[in-house]
Amino acid sequence: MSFACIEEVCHSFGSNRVLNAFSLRLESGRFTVLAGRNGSGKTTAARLLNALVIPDRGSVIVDGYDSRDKASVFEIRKRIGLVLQNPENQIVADTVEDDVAFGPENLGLSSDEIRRRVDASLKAVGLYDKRLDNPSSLSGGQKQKLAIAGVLALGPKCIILDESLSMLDRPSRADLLKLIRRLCDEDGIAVLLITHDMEEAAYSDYVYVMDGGSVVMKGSAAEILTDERSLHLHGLRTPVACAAASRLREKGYPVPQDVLTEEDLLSFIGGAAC
Amino acid sequence: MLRDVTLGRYYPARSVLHSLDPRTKLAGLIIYIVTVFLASTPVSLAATFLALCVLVVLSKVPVRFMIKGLLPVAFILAFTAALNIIFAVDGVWKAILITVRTLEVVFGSNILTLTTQPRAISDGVEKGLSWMRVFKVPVHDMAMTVSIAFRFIPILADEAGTVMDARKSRGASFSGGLIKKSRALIPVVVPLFASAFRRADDLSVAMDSRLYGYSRTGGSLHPLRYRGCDMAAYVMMLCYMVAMIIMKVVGA
Amino acid sequence: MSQIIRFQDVSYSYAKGTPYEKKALENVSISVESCDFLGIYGLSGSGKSTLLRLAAGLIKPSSGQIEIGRSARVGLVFQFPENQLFGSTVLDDVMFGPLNMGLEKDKAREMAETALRQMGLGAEFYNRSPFSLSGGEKRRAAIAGILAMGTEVLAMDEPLAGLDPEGQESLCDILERLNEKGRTIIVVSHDSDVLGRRCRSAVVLENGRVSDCGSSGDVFSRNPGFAPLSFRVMEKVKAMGINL
Repeated sequence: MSFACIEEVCHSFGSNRVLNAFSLRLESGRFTVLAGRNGSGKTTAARLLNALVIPDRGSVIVDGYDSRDKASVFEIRKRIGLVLQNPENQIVADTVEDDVAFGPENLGLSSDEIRRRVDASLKAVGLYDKRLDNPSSLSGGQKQKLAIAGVLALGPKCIILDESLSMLDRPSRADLLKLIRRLCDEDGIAVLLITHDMEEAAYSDYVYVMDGGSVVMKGSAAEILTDERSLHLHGLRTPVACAAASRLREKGYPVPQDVLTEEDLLSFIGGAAC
Repeated sequence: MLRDVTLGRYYPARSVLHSLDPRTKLAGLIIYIVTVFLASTPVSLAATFLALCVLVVLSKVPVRFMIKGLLPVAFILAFTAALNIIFAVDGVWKAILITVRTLEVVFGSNILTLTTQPRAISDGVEKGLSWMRVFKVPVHDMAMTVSIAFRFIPILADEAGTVMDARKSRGASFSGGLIKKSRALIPVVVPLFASAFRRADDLSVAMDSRLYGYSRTGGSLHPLRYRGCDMAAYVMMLCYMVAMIIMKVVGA
Repeated sequence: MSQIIRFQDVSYSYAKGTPYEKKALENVSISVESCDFLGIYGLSGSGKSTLLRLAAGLIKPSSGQIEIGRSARVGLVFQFPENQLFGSTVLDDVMFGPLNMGLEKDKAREMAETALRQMGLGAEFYNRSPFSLSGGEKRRAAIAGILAMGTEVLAMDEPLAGLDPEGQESLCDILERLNEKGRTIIVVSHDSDVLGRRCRSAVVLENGRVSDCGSSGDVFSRNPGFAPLSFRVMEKVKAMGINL
């Protein structure tokens, strides 16, 4: 039973058809990527999941709750957290810990429970020793970690990251991908990363590619990321390591299909050299 | 210049004033302003000025820093004072009274914002006004609006600087007379508004996603609790207020 | 090739004299050759944007000297330039710069139309409202606004930010063409993946100081952390003796 299910959704904004028979499933403990060029409908698709957008046609079921049911919206948003692209425009408070407390305070929890959750979330993302700092003093990557902590404090089973890594520099991006992987693998959280940067997708388990409002490719990361031609057709680039692995395979080297990231490739080469 | 906004900014330090509950300080500010307007004789005015000096010293904020944020006000003050001296009967005393009162009110308010984090101020105001909820006044929403606005002031100020720089790099000029300057600012203000709306859009998505508005009751991360120093402060404020009232009644 | 921009021991601090003072650049010395395609790389907060503002003359250095070559000017395109579009039509907006330079209306129009054409926006765009354009088109129109001023140097802060892979490639193609036609191009970016292979020279900034400079190939070899992913991977593959 999938944690969240988007089934055959069609949606328009005015006369503009944005989603066309769009379907997607999210599984617990799995890192899923939804990729597509700008204008392919990715952001709208993401907003379906936490009931910010109610589909014109089709259904969105999250952990048994239907998003069209107004009474379910609270339960859905407790279970699915959303992190946006711009690190700055999600912060509502003047100190790190106050910002994380925003969600739990909205749940009406006791002061002790709020404190407990805030501390746990900050420790989970590695910002605990910055809890009294002003969020403006954080780097972009740290601000996104703060956003994730704010979402974690609600106790979600799923986190959606809407192009949340695109404004970050490379070390911050790598740092956040590691955090996301850990949340997936250790805490069993379903993660959906929306992006057009396939280098990020190289760290995921499952990939959906969108174009023109519908899913055009779906499969495991290894299947999708090695399909250079199709990715290019839909305005995306194959990760560098995948392309290199394909070239090596053409030359006869037995590179496994799941070599997708730079680290994977280097450890394979290192092993092959022995 | 825009990046150096110091008016209303918090100045981190360890002082008696910094450690007081925000409600104490808000009450103190209100009491102080009342006494400032009660004072109409040289003696009582001097008393309020003395009280201000005590507060400035207690705040441990460098006076130089405080004055920097008050330069814009100085111009208005000088203008008003001049008008009074020229046109009013008893003009000189009136001028002094108005100048000193305005300075005291502005300095007093400044001391509040310098020693209290914006979040604490809004918490204090919200707690203090929470009785209004009975009348369906959206106290929490208003407090949230104010505190978010505070947070975005420096961000929008930076952005205004960037938009102006972008116009300057295309040859726009922001110098010249008032009319010319105002015309040059329109292509800055419009994109700035657009950007503010975009940010507000993002923020509202983020806040909705984090269930803003689903509960107005429940605890908070920093429940406001009065301590000994607050009680002492209230006692001193009360004594000061009583003294000023007595002075007024006696006619000193 | 002559030097068109030279920074000599330049330092810059923001908000000097307040508790919020911040040193953005320290003893930076760089020289840019005419007709070069230079990439300036560094993490967020390393001082890259400050460097561009100094080069464009928007701010003056706290210490040190900046020399701009004889009659050369620097046109600066900020990050997300499409946020500052303002004219009632695309052509009006692009003409703003040339008009401010004192050019006659006809000459300004000519410069604007040329710039738009160079950015891949044809006559059908001239009379449209800037707000009716797509994201990528808006960015190109905004860049045209600087291009139309005919500056010898075009400096850009994160030109690819927010663009998808196709948008990034097509903008890089345009920049390469402009460079071939004689314009000096300076781009600042935290990410060299797409721009890296188009830039001939590179400078790396760390904490407000120049940590390396030279040809792209040399700088990337010495600073693999800032090299394009493709460069790093190919170097490692080559180092293992594998020939791709």
